[in-house]
Amino acid sequence: MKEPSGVMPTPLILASTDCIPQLIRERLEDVVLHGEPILLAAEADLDSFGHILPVWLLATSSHLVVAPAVPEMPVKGPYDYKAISDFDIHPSIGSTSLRLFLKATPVELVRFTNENRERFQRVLVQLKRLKEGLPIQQDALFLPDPHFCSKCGLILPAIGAPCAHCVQRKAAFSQMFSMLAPYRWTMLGLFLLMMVGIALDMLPPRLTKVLVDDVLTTRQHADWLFFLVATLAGAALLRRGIDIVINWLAPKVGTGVTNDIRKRLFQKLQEMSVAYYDRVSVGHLMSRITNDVEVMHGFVIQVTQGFLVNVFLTIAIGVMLFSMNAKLAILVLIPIPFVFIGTLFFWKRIYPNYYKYWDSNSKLGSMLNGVLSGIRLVKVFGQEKRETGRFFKAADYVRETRIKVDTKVGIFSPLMAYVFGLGGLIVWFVGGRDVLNGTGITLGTLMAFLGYIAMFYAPLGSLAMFSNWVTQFATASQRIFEILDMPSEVQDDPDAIDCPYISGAIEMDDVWFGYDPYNPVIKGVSLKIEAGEKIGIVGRSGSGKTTLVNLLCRFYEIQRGEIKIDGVSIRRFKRPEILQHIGLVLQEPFLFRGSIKDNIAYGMPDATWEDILNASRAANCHDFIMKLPEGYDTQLGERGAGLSGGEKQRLSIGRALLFNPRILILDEATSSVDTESEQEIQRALRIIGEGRTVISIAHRLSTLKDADRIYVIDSGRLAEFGTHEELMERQGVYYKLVKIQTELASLELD
Amino acid sequence: MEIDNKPIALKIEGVGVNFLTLGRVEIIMGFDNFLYVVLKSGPGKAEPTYRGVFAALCFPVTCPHQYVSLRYIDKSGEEREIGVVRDPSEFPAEVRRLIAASLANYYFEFEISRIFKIELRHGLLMFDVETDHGPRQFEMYWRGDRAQNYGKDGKVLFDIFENRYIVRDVNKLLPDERELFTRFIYW
Repeated sequence: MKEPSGVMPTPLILASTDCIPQLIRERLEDVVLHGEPILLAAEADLDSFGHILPVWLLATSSHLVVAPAVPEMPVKGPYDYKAISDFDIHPSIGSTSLRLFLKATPVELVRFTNENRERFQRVLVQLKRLKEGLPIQQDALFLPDPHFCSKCGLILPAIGAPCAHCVQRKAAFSQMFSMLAPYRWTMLGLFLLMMVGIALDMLPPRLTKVLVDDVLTTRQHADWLFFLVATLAGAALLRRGIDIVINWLAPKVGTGVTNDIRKRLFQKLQEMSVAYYDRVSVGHLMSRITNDVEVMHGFVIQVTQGFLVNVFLTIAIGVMLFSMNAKLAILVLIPIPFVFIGTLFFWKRIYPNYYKYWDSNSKLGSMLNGVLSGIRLVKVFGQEKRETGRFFKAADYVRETRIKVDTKVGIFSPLMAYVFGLGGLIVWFVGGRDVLNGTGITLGTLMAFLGYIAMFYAPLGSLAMFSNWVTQFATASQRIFEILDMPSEVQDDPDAIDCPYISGAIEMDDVWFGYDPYNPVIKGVSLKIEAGEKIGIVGRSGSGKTTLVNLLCRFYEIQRGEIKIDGVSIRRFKRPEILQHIGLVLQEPFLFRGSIKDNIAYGMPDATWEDILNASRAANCHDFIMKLPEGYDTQLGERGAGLSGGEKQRLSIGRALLFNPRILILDEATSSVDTESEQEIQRALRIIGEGRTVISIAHRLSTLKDADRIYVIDSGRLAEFGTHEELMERQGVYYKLVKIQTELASLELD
Repeated sequence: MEIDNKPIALKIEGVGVNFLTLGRVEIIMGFDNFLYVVLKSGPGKAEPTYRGVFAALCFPVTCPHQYVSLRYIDKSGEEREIGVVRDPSEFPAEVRRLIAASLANYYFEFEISRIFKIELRHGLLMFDVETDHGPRQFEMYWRGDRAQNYGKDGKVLFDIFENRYIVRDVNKLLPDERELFTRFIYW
């Protein structure tokens, strides 16, 4: 495999017909193309039955033809653009087709594997242009695909995100060290203390040599005994004192950095678009903010306390050993290559196990989050046993993965210790023989040497195990920086403007959007809403109503067209600014744990008592709140536990109202409440809707009768619009929906 | 009063699945790989016909040879079901061929038979494999949602382009290849 892989495939759209294979040219000779030159040629890689083979789509200015590169398969077409009503890209399971429509009948032109979707999306646009009699846009066909890195061709995590290959070298470590910058003075202090500590560590073996050779063996300086022992005691005391200061300072840096990371992570998560949360599980994110950040803490402690000390200690001892006896010092180095080989092996074999452990841990968190959030459902269906079983299985898996990691580390560490031990034994043997022979080394020197070796192998061992820490750090940092480096899909222009005031006029012009960009759910919707109008949006489930308001709130970025507020594209406004003017009431009201007052004032924490009371009164929730013993200070449970569905909904309307938005969006706001509550909410909405643009999505069409205009969405398209009376008269989709509901209502009455 | 504690049968007449049996449906080749379906309603009754019909499996993983849903797109663009063929083997060979062709038109997957290499680079798993469509190299994000269970012991992998790669039974991979596969796809 080439480096880097995951690259955008070579374009198979040809600007020149010279590149069309000979076989295809020959096949075209039999097809009447009126002698027109081929303007566009694109190669697909599947036939209709899912066999991999080249199939060519060729377009002239008036016709289309499809020619498989095997003579046994028939040529499709030519199709005259005049007979074609439209084209589309149609995803099926595992592949995609480019289709044309003869009136309403779809005809598959070519089928291809999904890596060709982007290029056939471009072909589709050009075919539509040809059909309209417009010239082909060569530039648009050959523009680089923004999903891939323009430098190395690797797929990007998201459009505009940094390329993992191009930024890798400076990635995790340099980002981590840049985060240490605010702590540089503390770290400098730590470094100096460590240097003094290392110097003190060098002292005892040296003094031991003097003690053995000059005091105990030769008795030349017997009077030095007290002085030497006192110096050793003093050095040890000073060393421990330095340790205490280091242990006090280092955690300050460690906790400081991890605290910074945790805050940045949370801040970043707040910036991410709704689309991001559609993809990523909340449990995984929680694990990243809690567990992974904790691993980073351990690493910082290692860097500030462990790693640096060990590096300098190893260097200092190496210098000491060579200065004392070069021959023995070289023997000491014998185990070192084994240490490095062992470390490499450790990296290769243990890394996936670490990832496995962290991943299983985060999955456990994710599962726990899911079960506890839906605990009522679990109980209603009596699934406690099953859920307990699932949790046990996941917990066992975490345990197994941890055991695997610990076992492998447990085998690696003693083996390394044994290798180090061999170095000491070699010195004992060679050095001991020299002492016995009286050749070049004294007993004191040998004792000092062995003292240094004990100090030498310990930090080396730690350095070898440092890979363990690095592995954990690399795994955790990969997961953390993946979030920090991820650009939000919805980003403000650098020159985005504020919007302190809006009137609430909305315009959508040929808006296209799909959660999967190749599979649009909103298809060319255009509508115009004047400021202060009351608008209804209706349609079947899944027709795209909620998606439409999500786009207005800019939770997702549209793929084509324009959405304007007060005549200005919403892309030109700063996103938080525009959201200030939009109040959104959802079908499932989400209330936080806390007081009723805090929940109502969630969007406006500075709201006055009077504002809160007025908004509640207007939302028709004041009376039920006042019936509660603690009124507005009543503490609510998780997700508003303790209130009925209607009460929660009215609270969420109050919350939206306090925000005083110019645009109020009610997304099925009353569909999950009883009729009485609905009536109360509707009454409240009529009053508070005055002077605002109100967009109501509703299944119960009777609630929209008074709307200034009703837009009917059908399969992502705007099917029709008008007042209730106009739409009833037209007898289209709306009429049918009303009829179905009327019949249902009469059935209920029966 | 005597209490009947027998289980109550679920009444699905008119609201359950419309099972299409041999005498109740006629399936013939339609336009552009689509099927043409006629529902037999009995003598003297109108026989609804459907053009542009395609087949989809109800249980593509756990029961890939039975329960075939026959579907079409109505005038408003909505996908609708005509009914479900319980077991295509109960139908004549020609109908079985038509259903199989329609399914082949709807599904496209690479079935992995050998795994030669898996490398982790830049958060992507680089696969070098043998499939039922020949040798193939592909890349997938090393994420839980990119490899999902496929039946009891299988896995379906989604590459960076959303192509589907099936390992029908992980246990049936060669030991070295299984070890390599589960080193990365362990969930």
